[in-house]
Amino acid sequence: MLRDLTLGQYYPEESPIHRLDPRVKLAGTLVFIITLFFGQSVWLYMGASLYLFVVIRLSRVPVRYIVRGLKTIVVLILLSALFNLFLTPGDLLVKLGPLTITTQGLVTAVFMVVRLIYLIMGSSVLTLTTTPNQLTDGMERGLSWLKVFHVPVHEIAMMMTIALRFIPILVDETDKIIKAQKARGADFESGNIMQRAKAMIPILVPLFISAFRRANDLAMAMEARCYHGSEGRTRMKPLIYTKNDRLAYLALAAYFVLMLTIAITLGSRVI
Amino acid sequence: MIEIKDLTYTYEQGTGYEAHALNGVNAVIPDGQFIGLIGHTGSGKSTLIQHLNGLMKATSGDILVDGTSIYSEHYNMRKLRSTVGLVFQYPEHQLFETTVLKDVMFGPKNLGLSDEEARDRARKAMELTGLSGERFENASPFDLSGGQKRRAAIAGVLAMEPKVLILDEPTAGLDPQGRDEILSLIRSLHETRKMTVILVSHSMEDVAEYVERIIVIDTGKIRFDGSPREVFRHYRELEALGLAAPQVTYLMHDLADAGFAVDTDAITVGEARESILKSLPQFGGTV
Amino acid sequence: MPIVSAQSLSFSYELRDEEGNVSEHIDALKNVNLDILEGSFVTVLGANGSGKSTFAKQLNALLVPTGGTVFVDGMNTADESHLLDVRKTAGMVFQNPDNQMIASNVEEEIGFGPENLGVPPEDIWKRVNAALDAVGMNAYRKASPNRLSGGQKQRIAIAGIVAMEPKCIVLDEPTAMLDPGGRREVIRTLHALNKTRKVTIILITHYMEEVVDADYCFVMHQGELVMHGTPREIFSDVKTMRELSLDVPQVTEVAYELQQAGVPLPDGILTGAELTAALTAIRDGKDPAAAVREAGGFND
Repeated sequence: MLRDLTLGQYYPEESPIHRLDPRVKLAGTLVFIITLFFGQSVWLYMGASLYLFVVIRLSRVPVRYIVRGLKTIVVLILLSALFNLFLTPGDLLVKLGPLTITTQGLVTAVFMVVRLIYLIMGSSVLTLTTTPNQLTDGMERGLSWLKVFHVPVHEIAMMMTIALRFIPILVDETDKIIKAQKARGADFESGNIMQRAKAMIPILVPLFISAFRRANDLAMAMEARCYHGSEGRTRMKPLIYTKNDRLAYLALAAYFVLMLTIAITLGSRVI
Repeated sequence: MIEIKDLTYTYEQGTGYEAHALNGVNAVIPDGQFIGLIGHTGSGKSTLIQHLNGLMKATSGDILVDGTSIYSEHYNMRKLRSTVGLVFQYPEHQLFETTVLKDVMFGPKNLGLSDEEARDRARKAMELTGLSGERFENASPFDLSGGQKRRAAIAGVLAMEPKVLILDEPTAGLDPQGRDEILSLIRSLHETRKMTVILVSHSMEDVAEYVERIIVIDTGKIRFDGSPREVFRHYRELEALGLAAPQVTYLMHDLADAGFAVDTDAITVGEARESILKSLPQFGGTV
Repeated sequence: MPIVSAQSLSFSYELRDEEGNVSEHIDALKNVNLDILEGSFVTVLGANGSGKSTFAKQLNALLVPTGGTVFVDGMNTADESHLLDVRKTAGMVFQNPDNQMIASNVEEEIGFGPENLGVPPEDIWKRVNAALDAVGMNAYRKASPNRLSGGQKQRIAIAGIVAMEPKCIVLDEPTAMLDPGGRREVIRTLHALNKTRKVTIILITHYMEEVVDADYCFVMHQGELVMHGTPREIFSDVKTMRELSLDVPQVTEVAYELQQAGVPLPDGILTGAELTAALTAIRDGKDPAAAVREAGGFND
């Protein structure tokens, strides 16, 4: 299941979206997510759909890669849909024994599902078109003003880089340890919750030890390569805005204004 | 006895990216044999050994252990894992208990044995691997040396008392002494306990020295299967598969080309010595 | 001037028990004296626990001596003001290829060192390109390290060091986790770097076949430097090597066994061609040592 995790996996392609400055893409993702919370209106969601459609087409990432990221949160989506469907008060629509569905509940549930799906798709586009290094670079540069408040921006960015590099390695390692313990007769599938939790110890202990060993090795390797924090460090891919980036910012601003106008004009109306 | 019948394993079935990790493997492994399994990284040998104790399930084909298919309904997988013991590469990475003894008891306890029985078995296994005594029993597995950790991990599989022992590159990363210790341990398990052993190795010299049968696997198929002497006769074909023969094989061919009446099938240092001495007239040989 | 010079180098550390009291005093290196010439290909052999890894870390100032001194290109490694210069001069490659890569893309991985050194961006690119060519991995520049084989990963790790333009590369068992093909790949790359770019290579290993083609070899045992010489000199002493529980090439072992049986072979035979020449000479009643020399041996 972990292998299907789209978040953090880069899809190599030479598209206009791939070439955008990561700061633009970060801003774009943020704006998109904010607009999803403007309200429950068909028009708003048509605007968001148009945005997603255009960005995905431009990125040339196959849709199935973007959809794959949804598999991991199917349960979450279903749960929140059911909660909204049955627990929203309002005008009665259907009565199923002790459960009631209201018109408002139905509307909220539908919008909730769409919102969650769009949220994941929007952020997947970001991680699919931006290498983890560009992403952390973008965050480091885009958030460097936070240094004024003593936020260790460079260090956080470096931690993210390393985390992204080691997630697939640790996933493989977990798989290997599970198999090795199964070969010693371990059973991870049966028993009650307590027994199952206890059965995780033979996986977790070796995994933690391995993670510590790797962290230790990596720290030494970084030191040997003269890493000494952000001071005096240069970048091989310095971030410089191009014409396309400025155009993208303009388009983004236009999208934001459009969505805002729709939201204000429609108020709380659905259609 | 293990019978492998037409075993095929396909990755990503039905997605268009099909890749055969195993492609129609057939072999019979009689009880008590010492087998060397060789092939380069990605040849399918790791996939094959994981099938033998049910950790992976074949796409098609069958595996019979003592006459029963392991894919038959209600087959006891846990029992299979105690019959066919599998020691993974770098097995010391699975150690997790607070003491070596407890760690070695993990396998037998999973088989449903009582604490007492499990402890007895663990002690026996530790004795076999040269880790007997209080000193080791109560030590934390993480305080052992590299070679000791590996032997503790092997003891963890031996304590399940398997009839068949499969080891995936058990000497990887060890120095020559650690390697010799592990290999002579495996040899004595085979000789004194009549265990069937399958040794996955990259070292042709080790394989030549220890095993009685070699299976060469490449792109998911068995390419050669026979005694070491027979298999290393094909040293040119082995090279084409990214493998090689022991250094001695090359030496013997050089000598034969130079007109010495040596046995080109010699594959160990001892055999080479005997054969060369016999070929030197000064030492009673004939040219 | 030697590129590396260790003078009465000692290194010890203390193990502490749970209460923080010293429980054991370990001498990892004991009075090691050696010089390594610039441009040479040197190997350090030794069993696990012989102190060879501790020695490697001294050359990069990851550890500093507790006794004696280490000079790298004339700089005292204990002098903190030279720390980055020492690390830039003597780059280091470690055993586990996965645990020494930071970036998720080959090109950025190689650029990491120069970035830390504050090299301007356009020069970083030049260095990255040159380093990729030097290890023959240009085709993989955009790849993720996770998609590479073990041998390829180690070549990228080497390229990451080459991009820092060091005079010397120290490799701590870089082939221990690789299969024979990967091992050959890495060793070939190192010899090429040594020949074409005159980079000094210091290779720590316990595989004797990686030692045969080196210029010089040091053997360590229990923290001490116990043997040094050309590989031929080292492997001539089969008895001592066995006592140190180290291997010798199989051909050398056969020659040694034949010698023990009374065949008048010279010491230090390393290859099949040399042994064949020597045995042919003996059969024909000629001088075996001369025959080995003719076969290309003993010239180093």
